Amino acid sequence: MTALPEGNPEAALHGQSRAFRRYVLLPPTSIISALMVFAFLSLVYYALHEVDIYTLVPTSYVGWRNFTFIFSDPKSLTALLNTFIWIGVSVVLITILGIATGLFLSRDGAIIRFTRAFMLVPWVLPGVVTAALFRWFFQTQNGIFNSTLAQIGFLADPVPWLSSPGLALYTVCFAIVWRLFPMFALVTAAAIKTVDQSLYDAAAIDGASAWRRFWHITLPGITQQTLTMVLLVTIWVANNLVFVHVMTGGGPIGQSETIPTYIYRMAFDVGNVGLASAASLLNAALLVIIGIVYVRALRAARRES
Amino acid sequence: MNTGSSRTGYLLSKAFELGVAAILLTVILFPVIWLVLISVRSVAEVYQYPLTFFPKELVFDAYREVWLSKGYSTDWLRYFLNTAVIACFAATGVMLLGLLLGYVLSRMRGPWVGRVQLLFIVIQLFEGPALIIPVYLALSWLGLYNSAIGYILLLIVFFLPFAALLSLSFAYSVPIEIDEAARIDGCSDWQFFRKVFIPSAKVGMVTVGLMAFLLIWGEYPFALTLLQGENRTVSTALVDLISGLSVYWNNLAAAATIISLPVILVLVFAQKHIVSGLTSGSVK
Repeated sequence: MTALPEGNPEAALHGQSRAFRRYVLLPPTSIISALMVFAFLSLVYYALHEVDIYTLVPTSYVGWRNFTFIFSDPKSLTALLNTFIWIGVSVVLITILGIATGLFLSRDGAIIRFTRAFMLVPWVLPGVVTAALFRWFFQTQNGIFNSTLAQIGFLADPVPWLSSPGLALYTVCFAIVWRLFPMFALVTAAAIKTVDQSLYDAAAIDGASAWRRFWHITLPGITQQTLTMVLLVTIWVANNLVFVHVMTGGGPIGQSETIPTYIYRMAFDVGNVGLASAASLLNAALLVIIGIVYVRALRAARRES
Repeated sequence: MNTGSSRTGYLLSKAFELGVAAILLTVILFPVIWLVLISVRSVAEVYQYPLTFFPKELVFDAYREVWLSKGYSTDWLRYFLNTAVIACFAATGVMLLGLLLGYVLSRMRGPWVGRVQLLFIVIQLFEGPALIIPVYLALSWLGLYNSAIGYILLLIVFFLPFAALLSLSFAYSVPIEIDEAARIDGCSDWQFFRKVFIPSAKVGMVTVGLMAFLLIWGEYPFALTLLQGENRTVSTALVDLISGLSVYWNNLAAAATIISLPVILVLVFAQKHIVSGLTSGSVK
């Protein structure tokens, strides 16, 4: 673990009364911890049982069957693989576009200020609005995307963006990239503004190229903020249900299913709560791995700086 | 360097900025403008091919149909009211409790400060589909399934960690000397929080409240699994409009436009707060 913060060094140890601190800290932390423990235990218990969908009472012990099923059934394997594609493609695109746009937004002047003012629009819109909007945009017949491409002569036949098995997931990735990259850019721009200006002046005297200035000054200067944003975005994407659920419903024929939509469909449409619980545990395990990778990356970045 | 070439350089860089800005704004605003423009068309025009960008005539039927006619199983004004009440209560609760936690943590020293922060960070990792089944179970057992109160309590639990961490970063900016002065005056911790801390952390408090409101307004997975029928929020009700066989995209756009208004208004009037909330949260 990285060293945990030790609190406010100026604070006298007994500034606030102990009782006051206990009243404030104990209820929320214990409710949150209890929820975590309950969630973990109930998921493990359900994942090892067959569960009656009406009473939610486990009927029989099935051991690892739910897990072995997930790792052998083609549909759930597709969902697993898709989850990695979904997270990988979206996060990489959001990061690259976010940093590139952030560099642009860190300039000064009226044009930039005007542009910056609209950057948060995609992020504040309810996710379901964005998902529905893009579902309409990417319709095969009469979709704005296809008809615009056709009108400028780019496209002879309409592309089935959301109804072709190979394309659907990537089209949904486009939607979440649209939602998150401007916000990433705005935060990156703010981080770039905090980089020590004298380093650029020194580099200008040495005649360093724009690319070298970016690579050796800007990027190291914003590593920590960027890593934190990447983690935040990865968690948001990994936990996102609404985009796939609303745009494709996991279809066609399960080809854009991700673990979140799989959990929802298994629990509430199919009614296999045991299987859904096993998938939930896998989802949680994935998030733990993401968290560990992040802590390691952050530690390495801190050591370098 | 003569002034002529640097002037050309300046113009070139402005032209570059204009070009990139135009592309960016098109990418970001084009879909949103389409949404509004499709909401003011008749059904016939929505299904016309090719679709024109500007509607041939302005028709507000979609708004009337979604928002003013109560269908057999749809009552959009009610869904909007549900969402507004839920978001306001939950955001206020999250804001006040978050600020209180931020106040206490910012005045503490020792290992527990870090442990509590770690707990708050870790729980946010899991607040998603992985918790759908346990939350559904827990709220059913507590008799709070399909209840706005249960959903509000859940939202407070879920968004409190985020609010507490954000409040903590603001709470450090209220100098600790004030605490000592107030303590000498015989102020209790609770009195200090109410009468001194809140007024001096007002900007941070508003930021936390507005951020929580934005995040809660569009919450989807738990609204979907916990609220049914007339208790639904706008997020889950919107999906009904596209799940049928024939989709009236103008109706969908009319619903989507109105449910986006509150968050757009928050953005218009409090952009500075939101940006400061986003950046101070990630600088740590």
